Amino acid sequence: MLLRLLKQDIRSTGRVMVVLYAAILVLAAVSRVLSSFMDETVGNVLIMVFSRVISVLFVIAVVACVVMAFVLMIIRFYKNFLTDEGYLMFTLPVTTGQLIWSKLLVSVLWVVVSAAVGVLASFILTVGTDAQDIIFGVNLKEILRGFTGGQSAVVVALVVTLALLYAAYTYLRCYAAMAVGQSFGSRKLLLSVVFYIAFGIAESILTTVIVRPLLNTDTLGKLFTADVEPFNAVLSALGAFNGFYLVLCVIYFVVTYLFFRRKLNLQ
Amino acid sequence: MAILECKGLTKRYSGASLALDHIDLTVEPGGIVGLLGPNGSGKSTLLKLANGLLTPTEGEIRIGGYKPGAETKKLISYLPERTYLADWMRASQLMDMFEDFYDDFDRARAEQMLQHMNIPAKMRIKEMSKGTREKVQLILVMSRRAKLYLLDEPIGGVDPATRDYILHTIIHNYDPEAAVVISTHLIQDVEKVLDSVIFIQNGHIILRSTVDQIRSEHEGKSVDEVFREVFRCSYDY
Repeated sequence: MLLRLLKQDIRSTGRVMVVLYAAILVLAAVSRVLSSFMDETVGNVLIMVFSRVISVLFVIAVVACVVMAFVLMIIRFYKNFLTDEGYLMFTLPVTTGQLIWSKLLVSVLWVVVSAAVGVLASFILTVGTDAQDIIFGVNLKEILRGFTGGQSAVVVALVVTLALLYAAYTYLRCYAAMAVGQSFGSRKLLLSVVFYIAFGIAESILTTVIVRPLLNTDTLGKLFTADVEPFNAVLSALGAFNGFYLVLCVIYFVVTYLFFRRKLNLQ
Repeated sequence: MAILECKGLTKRYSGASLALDHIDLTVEPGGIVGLLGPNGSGKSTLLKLANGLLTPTEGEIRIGGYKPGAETKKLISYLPERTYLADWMRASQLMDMFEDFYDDFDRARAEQMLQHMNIPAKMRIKEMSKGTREKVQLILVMSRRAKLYLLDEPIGGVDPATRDYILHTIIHNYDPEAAVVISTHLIQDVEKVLDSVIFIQNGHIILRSTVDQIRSEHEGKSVDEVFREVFRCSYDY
């Protein structure tokens, strides 16, 4: 059933995201073609102006894509579960956990696809230029070497999981705030915003009270002293951040699950 | 075994009075039950509790022996009082979706009903009138071979000709082994299809009877006339 939900969510959000991705790639290609014209026809004002407009549109499309990847998924969650559409979604023969997982996985999927499209657009923008050799030649080779070289591969893997966990955490915090907000009789949206802010305050307190003192203890504190190799310190820091966001993800997932399971209030 | 069973079922909305007050009720398979009462009597609340869209304050509700959950949602086909269809979808995509999620969805039946109502399958929900959206929703709900149909105001927002078609659709499309609960306050229109009725007011069940019993006990009066009498008496207090 989770696969069927994923199919439904991808179909629903994909119709917007795919258009944005296509716009980014087309604008990148047009921008690249115009800049090569500019090299050949130096001084042509019309081509120069057109090239600048395309560049601005490209930047707008990239920003829109990043914003949409986040905002659209949050709106989709709210509309799909907490407005009239919730009458259908919550009467499908699926578990509450599957409903939340589907939304979360699709949201994170679009973050990953957006990053991939960003890389592809950069590649198109720099085709046949020196910049491409710098970005995709030397640096890419170094990154790929990092994947295959033992210790560096661990760092790369930890950075990737941290990015994914952070994306999941960002969505789950919003989900949890909306799940708690909807359980009240009225002003559900306002209360969702209030709970989102309250969660942020709770996180700050948690960080101050629990995490910071830990860094001063013998166990973790030693990892950041001069006696420890910088590489190990980086590994420890990445591990700690991964753990921190994993815990937050679990907490917000459980909060969302419990409120939907026990306090669902589609009045 | 009862397909729907409530024991001491109570629902209180925050800051408001009781929507349902310790209701005990069973609905057996086979037959169409009218859940009748004025606005705000607790009809929709009862149906939402059965679907797990609300959680009880006290007591319990079971469908086919289970508490509301993924298992019970396979048994129930629910028509809410609101339109729950995503407006970007086409009728055909909604049929795909129902086919994906419900093993008991009969696509051929749904397509046939769409044709009867002259609704193009490729039409998007946002291009449809409110009445057409309600028809599509009813078609999807009645195209399932469910054990329990819970229909909340199925004829509320449509013209008299469509009302007849909807009632015809309901009585000709449910499995005789299944139970249909129709919540409405438009009694005159639905009483011809009802086998039994439940009168509900202020969260209490005040009458439970078969339609035949009502007619024999009230000198051949219709359910609508008895409903008006019962609730008029209540208002006099």
